[in-house]
Amino acid sequence: MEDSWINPNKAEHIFLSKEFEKICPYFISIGMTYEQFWYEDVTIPKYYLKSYQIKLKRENEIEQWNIWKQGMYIYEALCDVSPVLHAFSKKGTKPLPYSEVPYGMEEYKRKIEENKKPTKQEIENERLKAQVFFSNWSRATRKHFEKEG
Amino acid sequence: MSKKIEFEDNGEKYILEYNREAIKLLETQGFSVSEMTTKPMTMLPLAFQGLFYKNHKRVKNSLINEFYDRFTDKNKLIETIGEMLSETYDSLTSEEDSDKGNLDWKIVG
Repeated sequence: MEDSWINPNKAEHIFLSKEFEKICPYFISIGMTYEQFWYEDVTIPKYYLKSYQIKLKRENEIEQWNIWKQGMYIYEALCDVSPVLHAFSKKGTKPLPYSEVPYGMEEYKRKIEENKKPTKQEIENERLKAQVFFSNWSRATRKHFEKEG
Repeated sequence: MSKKIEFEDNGEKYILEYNREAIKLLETQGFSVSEMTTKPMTMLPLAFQGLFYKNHKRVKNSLINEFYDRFTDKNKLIETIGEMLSETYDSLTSEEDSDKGNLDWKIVG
């Protein structure tokens, strides 16, 4: 008998259900339900797979931006502290102040300043400013009436 | 959406399609996708029966067999069933991956 490259007796049996059972947990892990996988439209997994790839891409982008931002904070911190790291820096040199709020959150800086309680010195300064203003004003008024009188 | 076969008989509309549970059930009854080409006379009627599982579970086997006999263009039916079966598996892999290394081919002469 001529040797044939197709030998039905040697053909490997493929059982799709075994493959389905193997891969089912993976699809459940990316959000599909058991019912969707086994009982509903067979093309649904394709969309779950695509959406999962989109999600991964987005997460990766966010992660890269966060790493980049972290690098910026470290860079800024090093720059801020650099004056005191200088071997010949003058006595009493202080590091530059570090950013009060994270990047992109400048609105919180305004809120912090609004809620900040004034110090005793600031209260005293304001009181003195008001005192000077009113004494100037009363002097000016008095002069005005003296002229008229 | 998956590929479907539609037909009407005695005023009733039938929509035939597979789900994975149907394939599982078929395989417990002796169906094997790898034997579709070697034992088409056994496998094709079985595969045809499986098409009723998702939407028409209550249709009797005798009626399904009658439908099978009355279906015209069996070659087209084999081809379509093959596509529908492969769809149940192909949809589990991403398109990008399955496109890699594919060769385009054409019929000449």
